[in-house]
Amino acid sequence: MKKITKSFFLLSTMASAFAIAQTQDGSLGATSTGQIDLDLQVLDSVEITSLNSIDFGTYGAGNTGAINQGDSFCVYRNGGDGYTITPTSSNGSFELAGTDSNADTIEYTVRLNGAATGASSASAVSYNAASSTFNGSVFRDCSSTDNASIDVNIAEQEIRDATTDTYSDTLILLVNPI
Amino acid sequence: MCRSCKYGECTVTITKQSRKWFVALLFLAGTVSAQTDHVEVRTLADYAFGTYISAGSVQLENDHCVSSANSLNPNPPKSGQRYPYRLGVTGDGSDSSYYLYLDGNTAETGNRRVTIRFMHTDILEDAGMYHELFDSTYETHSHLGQFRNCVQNGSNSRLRIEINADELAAKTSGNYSGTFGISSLGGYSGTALDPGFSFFVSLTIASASEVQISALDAINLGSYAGNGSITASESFCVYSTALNGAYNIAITSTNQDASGNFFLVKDATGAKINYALTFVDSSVQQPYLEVGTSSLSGVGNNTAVDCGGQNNAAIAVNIQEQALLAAETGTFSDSIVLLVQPE
Repeated sequence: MKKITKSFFLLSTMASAFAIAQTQDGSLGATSTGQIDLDLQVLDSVEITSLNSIDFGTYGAGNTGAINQGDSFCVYRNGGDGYTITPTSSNGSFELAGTDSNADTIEYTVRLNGAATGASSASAVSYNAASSTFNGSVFRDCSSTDNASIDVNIAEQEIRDATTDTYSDTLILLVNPI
Repeated sequence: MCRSCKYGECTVTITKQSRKWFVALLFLAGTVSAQTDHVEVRTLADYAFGTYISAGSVQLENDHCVSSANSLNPNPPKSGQRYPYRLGVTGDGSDSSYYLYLDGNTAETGNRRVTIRFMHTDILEDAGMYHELFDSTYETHSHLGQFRNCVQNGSNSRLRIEINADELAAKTSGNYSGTFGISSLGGYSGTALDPGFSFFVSLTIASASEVQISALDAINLGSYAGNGSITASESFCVYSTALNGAYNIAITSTNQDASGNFFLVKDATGAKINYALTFVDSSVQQPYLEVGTSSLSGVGNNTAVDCGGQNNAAIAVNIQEQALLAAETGTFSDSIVLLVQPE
């Protein structure tokens, strides 16, 4: 079984400098005009939510062919601007590891898309490499409508080569503002 | 012969007994009915502007009679003719302008003397066309004078004094005055002179209520990294010498829209973040009032320009979380302008 841990990344970049604005008192007279300047630095912000575990179920003698499962999720990006996702995993590569102390692993491929569906048709992403650029939602909850998806595919032979066991991994999706 | 004279003109009656002197009398009659080179400026009232308190430009005008004729008779015989006249007003002679001086002291200069303009028209002739006068110079535009005392048509000369609002606003409070002379050239010769008389102009500039807004500081809204709303406020001092310290405050911004909404703007892209702006007069018990397109009232400190170190008003800025979340990365700014005036 492969597991994607629900993750939250909030990336902020501090401004290099913050301009202090001019403010001016009024003078004494029939009228008096003062000025107050406002300044706000908006930093890059992203957030990935609504992630769910991917359960491949069981694969036995009665099963054939490759298996793939996916999940849709929400990516917030301030300004609705662009982002990429860099996937890594707790196993150090795209592979499921056995849980009963056997050394077998099951390799898998990862595909990402900037929409709630369609990841299975996207190009595979290399381990620890940035995906294509997608645009996030300006709402942290994506208005309850996911705007990104992931697809994980395991070739049949990878499964056939594996010792009987339960296999798992934790995918880590790092969202990078562009 | 019988001879009667009035207004300098004589009527001669020739009797039988004096026929032998007819030729001589004809000569005499021709002599006594010779033209009179008459010009006269009649009394012009003083100009009292009263007290001025920030009321824009002011003007006052007085009408009087200027006669210019070949006769002194108010109702002259058919031979009487009216002739042009030119008016002149003299001031202190320092230059071509006319001035009122603080406390009448002609040594004053700068913001202690007020420049005034004399404008002249002949209301029976010029239909409201005014001609500006300059110190010690007769006007270049002549007007047709009336017969003596303007008995036939009424006053003909109107002299207006104009004082510009900017001129008044820039002057020290106090009593200003000046004495001026008015005279006229005219008569059938065009050069007869009536040296006229002097008249007095007075004006009091009162100290208007004053206000001052101070102790203003910039509001640094900090850096936003995607969590929650932002609220910040700035207190300041409002001083007002109006009754009870009352004042009116108009709070605006160049980024404000026609509906009164305020925005922080990222200069590079024009992206905006809407924010709410509220105002509170902490001198009285009142909640923060939303700032829109209308001005608001407050009660300022009317004893200490610096409010004794105790600020008495404040504005508050609130930016909703979603407006911040939706904002693109970058620096956003705005300048809030606070215009205070006595109320």
